[in-house]
Amino acid sequence: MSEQQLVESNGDEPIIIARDVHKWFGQFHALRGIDMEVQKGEKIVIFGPSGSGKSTFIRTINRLEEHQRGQIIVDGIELTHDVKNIAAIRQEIGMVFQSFNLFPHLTVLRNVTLAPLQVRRRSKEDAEKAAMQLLERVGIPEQAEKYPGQLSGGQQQRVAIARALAMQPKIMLFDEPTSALDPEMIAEVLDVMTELAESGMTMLVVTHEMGFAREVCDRMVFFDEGQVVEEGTPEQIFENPQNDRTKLFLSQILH
Amino acid sequence: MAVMAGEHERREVLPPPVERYTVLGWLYKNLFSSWYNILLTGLSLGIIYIVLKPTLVWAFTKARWVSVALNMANLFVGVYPREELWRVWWAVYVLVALIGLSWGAHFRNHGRGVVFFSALALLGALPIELSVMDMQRESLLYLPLPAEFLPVGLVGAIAIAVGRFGAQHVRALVNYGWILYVPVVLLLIRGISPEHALLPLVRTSEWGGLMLNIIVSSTALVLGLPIGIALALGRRSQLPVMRTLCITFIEWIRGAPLIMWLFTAQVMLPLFLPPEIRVDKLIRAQVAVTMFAAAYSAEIVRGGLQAIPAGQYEAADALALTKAQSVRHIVLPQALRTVIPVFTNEAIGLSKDTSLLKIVGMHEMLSMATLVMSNPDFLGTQRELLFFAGVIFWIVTYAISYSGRRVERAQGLGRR
Repeated sequence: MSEQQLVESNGDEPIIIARDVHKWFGQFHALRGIDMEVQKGEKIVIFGPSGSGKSTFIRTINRLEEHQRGQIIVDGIELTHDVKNIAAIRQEIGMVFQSFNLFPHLTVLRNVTLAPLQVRRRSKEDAEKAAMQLLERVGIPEQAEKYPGQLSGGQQQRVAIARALAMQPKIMLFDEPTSALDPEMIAEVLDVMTELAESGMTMLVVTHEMGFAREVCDRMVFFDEGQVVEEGTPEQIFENPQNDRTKLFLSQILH
Repeated sequence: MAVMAGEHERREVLPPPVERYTVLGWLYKNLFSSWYNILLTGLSLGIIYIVLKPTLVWAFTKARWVSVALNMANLFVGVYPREELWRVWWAVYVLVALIGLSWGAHFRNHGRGVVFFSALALLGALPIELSVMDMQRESLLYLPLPAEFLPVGLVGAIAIAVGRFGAQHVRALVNYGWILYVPVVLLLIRGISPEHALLPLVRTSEWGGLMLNIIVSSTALVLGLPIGIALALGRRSQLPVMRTLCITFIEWIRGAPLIMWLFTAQVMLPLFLPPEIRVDKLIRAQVAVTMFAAAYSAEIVRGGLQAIPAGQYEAADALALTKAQSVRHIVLPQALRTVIPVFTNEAIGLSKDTSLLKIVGMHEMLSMATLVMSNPDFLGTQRELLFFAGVIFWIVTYAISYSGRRVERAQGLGRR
């Protein structure tokens, strides 16, 4: 199978480096000097109130948003206006969206094989074989010939995960993957994400699912008002939050 | 009844009830179910009767259809040399073959299509003759149906069957067929040179009738759509020069009626070109109609592009698809699917706007009908000729709208 194994051959260079990243939307200062380093194989959960810049931050990593100041370096490639850099970085990052964003006019199989065929230029048989393996891995191989509109939310999100994995990325970004799902389906998607985490993938997850955070991630980062307010291991954050804002937020969501 | 504790008994799964209506039952449910429905039904029937009865009475008793019957060739191909008519029929055969293949490969109601074409073939095979009274209403003329109905029907039915059973391969190849059709048909109808034995040249001034309407409108749509797509994408481009050029072109063309562009093409194009280059009159008209179709298609496609949610673009970007790849695989398929009904509308409008070619001196069908009307042999048959032209336009329009609906259904619009 083609999942990412934890390979530490290039020493301890972080796979994502963000230094003093700023972003404005018009006058609104959305990201105010974010510094973050992500090691290969690390699983990070980013949490915080709405509008705190969590989604904006992970979207700047694959250039869905453009940062206006600071540096972002992914796998040794700096993220600038250079289109070649952006393309190279995007090939190494897979993204899963809150609203799935599957292509409704294509079957599930075609959704998953489109990018490998067009960007990685694999042969049709290879791409389809790999796609079926991924669909089995996320638990829905029998849906391959259906259209996204015929699937439930949980199934669609799992297809979205398979689609992102089909490019064999080194990093997976999750932007509130379960926020649009109802409780039974949240569990099936979190199971897939847990399996992915255990296989060694580098993951940045923006989520409110604290159970998942506690069990799976290596580090939690609390965002508020465009800044990193606190970070630490799940034990540190849940049992011993240092900052008042962190304590306030946690008390609101853990009742 | 008290809720049973413990075991919950599963009810048996039943099939849904079958709705069966008698004819009276259907009439009651759909036409007479309440007092206002009865009123509306009565009113509609009344209006239909008032309008239809005189028309039908006239059509079956007083009308002199002989002027239509004797001028079929004029109405359909204008003054095209009669000994070369076989070439037009061959163009029809190829068209019917392509239609049949596309129909069989993409749509599902093959039965209906095969029945239609078989009926057509039968009409051609049997020695049926239409009897019409002559102009003076004295004697009967017997006019046979064109023998070419037989090959048309056969080709159509066989093509549908081939399209149905070889659907995989046909779907891949038939589009190339359609693209090749354009030069092939032009070659057939135009011919090669005046001395050529098989396909002598027929000048465009001799093309006419419904054939001309169809050639001009379908060429305009087929060429106008890709140009329109390019304009729509250019209009949304980040480059300001490209955007301004596209907007200017679109708004400029849309700013004048088609008739003015036809005149402009006829009169002004020669002014811009050196006197040695004389552009064929039909080509001038074709350029005008094509640009018109392109400008309108551009706005239609732009509407479709705007209907695509932003998340689709983001997902395509996140997968590292280039702009060109995302336009080709994600954006355009969705945009074009969304605007099929609008584009069908445009196609219908354009197919009838080609009757404006009359004004620039081309003998399309309406112009031929007017010419026949002014022929002293057929004096007084304006109503018959216009009625017939109207029916033909209606048939063409219905065919376009029908295929539009079938394409929508095949694309799963409204379902996915």
